[in-house]
Amino acid sequence: MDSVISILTIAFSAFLIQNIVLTQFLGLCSFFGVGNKEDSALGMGLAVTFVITLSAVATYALYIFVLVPFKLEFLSTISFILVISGLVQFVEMVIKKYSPGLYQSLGVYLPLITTNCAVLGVALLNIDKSNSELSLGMNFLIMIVFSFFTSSGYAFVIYVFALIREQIAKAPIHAGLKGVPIALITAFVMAMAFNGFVGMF
Amino acid sequence: MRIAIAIIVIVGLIAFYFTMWKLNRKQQLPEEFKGSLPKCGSCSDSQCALSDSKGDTENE
Repeated sequence: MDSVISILTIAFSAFLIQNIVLTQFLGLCSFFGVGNKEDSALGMGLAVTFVITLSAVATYALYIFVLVPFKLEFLSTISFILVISGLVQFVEMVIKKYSPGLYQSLGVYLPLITTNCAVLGVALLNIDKSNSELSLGMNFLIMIVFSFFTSSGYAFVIYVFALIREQIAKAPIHAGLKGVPIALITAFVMAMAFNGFVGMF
Repeated sequence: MRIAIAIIVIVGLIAFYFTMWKLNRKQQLPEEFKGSLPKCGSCSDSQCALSDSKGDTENE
């Protein structure tokens, strides 16, 4: 029962309290770049969720089964970058072959994910989170839950941000605030709101 | 010994990336989907292959 509660706490914390964009400030480039249209934001959010979860599993397995036994932890960053880049190419190829319709909607955003620092950030956070007192299976489960909910938090925030920006675009605001300035103010207000969750657990 | 393993790991990962890149390049989209891919309008870089403004620049 305790482990179920702790996993639910990790999921909730990753999704809202420790939100990757608004609390940890990772993935801001795509957040501001793509978060201006609802469709683009949804596509990017779904693609990032899929790639982060998949790459977290691959990078964690590489770390536990290759880098730690050979004492090569110093290669974590460079090897994770290569794994993520290769996986993005692989995912793009599979989607292109088996689901061209999905590729049509996600295809543009898949190559952009390679440059998203949130993907590498989650892979590195997973290593910090691994607890030697827990079993490998439990660590693996925690890692998957954390990665999935962190990336879902990214998708949620970028989608909400795009919805707000679409409404703001229709509003009569000062010319000097249009575009990036109002986007930064919106992100600031959203970050303040998300900081309200800090201290819940 | 440790350095040799480190080099093998890095070379293996680079080989993995290039294999995936090659396979992705080889994999063609079905004919009915070609030319209908949405373009990215997030930035104004006309050199980017995904850019919305690339087509406009080429037509000029």
